[in-house]
Amino acid sequence: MLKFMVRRLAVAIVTVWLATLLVFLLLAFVPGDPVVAMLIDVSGAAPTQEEIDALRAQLGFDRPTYIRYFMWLSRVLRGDLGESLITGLPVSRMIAAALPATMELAFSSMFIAIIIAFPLGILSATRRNSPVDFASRIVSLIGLCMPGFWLALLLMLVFAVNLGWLPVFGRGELRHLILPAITLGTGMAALSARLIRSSMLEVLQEDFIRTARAKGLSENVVVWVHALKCAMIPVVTILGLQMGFALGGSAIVETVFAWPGMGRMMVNAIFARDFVVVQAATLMFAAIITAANTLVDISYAYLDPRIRC
Amino acid sequence: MRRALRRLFADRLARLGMLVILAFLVCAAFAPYIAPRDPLDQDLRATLAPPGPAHRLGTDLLGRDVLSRLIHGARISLLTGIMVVGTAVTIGSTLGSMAGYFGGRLDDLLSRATDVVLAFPGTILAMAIAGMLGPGLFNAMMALAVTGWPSYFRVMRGQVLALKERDFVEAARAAGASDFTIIFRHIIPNCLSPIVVMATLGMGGIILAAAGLSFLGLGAQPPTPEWGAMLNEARPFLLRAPHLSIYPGVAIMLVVLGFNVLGDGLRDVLDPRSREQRCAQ
Repeated sequence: MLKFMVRRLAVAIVTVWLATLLVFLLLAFVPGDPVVAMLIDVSGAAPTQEEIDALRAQLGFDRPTYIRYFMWLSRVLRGDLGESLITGLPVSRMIAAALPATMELAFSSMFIAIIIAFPLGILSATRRNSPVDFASRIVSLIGLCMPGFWLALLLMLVFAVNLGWLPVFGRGELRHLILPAITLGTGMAALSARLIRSSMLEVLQEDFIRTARAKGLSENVVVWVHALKCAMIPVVTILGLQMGFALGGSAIVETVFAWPGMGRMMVNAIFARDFVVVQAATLMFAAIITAANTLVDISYAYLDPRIRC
Repeated sequence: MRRALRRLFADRLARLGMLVILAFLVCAAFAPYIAPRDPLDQDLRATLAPPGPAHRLGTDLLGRDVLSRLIHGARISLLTGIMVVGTAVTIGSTLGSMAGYFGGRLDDLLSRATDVVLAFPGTILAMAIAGMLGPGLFNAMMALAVTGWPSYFRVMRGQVLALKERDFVEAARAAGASDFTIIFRHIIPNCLSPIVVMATLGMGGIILAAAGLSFLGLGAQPPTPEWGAMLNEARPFLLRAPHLSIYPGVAIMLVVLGFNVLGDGLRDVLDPRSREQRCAQ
């Protein structure tokens, strides 16, 4: 087990290192000279040669690319993600301020997804081809195809604008969290319900379930004790997937609900052409996802000994 | 092939999916003839009008006909989907088959590259790339293609690894066929089924993602009648003109639903494993 964990951690470190390469190379996508592009959009006027040279030196653009990469990497490793080109604040401080909001939203939407997806998926599998199954499959299919930003607008329209029950946007009390968490949770619930249904259907085919039934156990005990225990294993994978979904969707949901998290920070930085912040936020997202996936793999191995080899 | 098609037509949901997609395709192909008005025509005397006889689905802030904009929007969304998925499939399966066939260092290098792309939450990386390139529909499409190819790569690589030791490949090699001929004439045609399924499901995902980027302002720019951009423009008028926030979302959902349902149906028909599972159940 320990060997497996060490190997898995090593893979995670390599992945994050490769992610730094890609994040560093993001600047290559900027058309023309990135330094000039940054300056033009900060002040609105054409930058002078001195300004260009100053920023070029500040960002190390006067040196070869690979040296710039290693300089950047060594700063990142020391926790220094640079300074925002717009506000001048250290990016690490900006991330520290935005990350809790994003994680709060991610975990609450995961919670919502789980309490919807489990009953839906299990009911669907145990009453296969019944009207219940059909209805829950339709609901999850619709949930999967509904654009998150549209659901957000609809929820706002009904609960904030028409009924006036919940605030339209912002962060603070629990009331603020409800609509964004439901928006993000719905898509995840739909995805998870489908996975839980198929994983449960597979388990219900197994011999040990037939044995349990043959022993004369009640259907409830068979489903909720025997089958569910086994069907739980893929659920950790689902949790990992949900984390990716939550972070990926955070940009849109946070923007719509003016939720002060990393996604919104990144969108704002993109429009301000604050490339330093965009790079740092992108890297942070990759690091969180890699950490979540590593945790999932390790707990998977813990739950299912066959994987550890 | 014919049997697969017949089974696909027998699947009620898949038929529904095909019908929906066909409807949108017709809208896209004949948009100027179907749409009641020009999607960019402004009528400043009838701004934010609710649905009525003059404008079936109402008008927006500039008095443009929402129905006409939706119909023209089908062109943009379907074209985006086809171009992005087409590019991702081409890059992904070409590199994937090469990695699987040649193995060795090339395989290691390409596999690591896909791991890296997959280490990012998809939307975030696409956003970052689209942001660096600058807002615009074409740039958004590029960003989605860059983040989209690794999943096709993985599937193709796996397929080729499984196929390359088979007898018919051995036979082709013994007959003196070049690697190029073996890959493109013998191997790729034999692993298309899972790619077709993935690409169909991928169309829905890409249309959704592209609309998301446009909604954020990173994709199609005004006055392009793009569904995501239309929803973005509708945001300030949620209270005064809720119809603006409803119809584009319905359009996105329907077309994505169509591709997902058709993709599920195709998988049942083309993927032997899921077919066995269905028989077992």
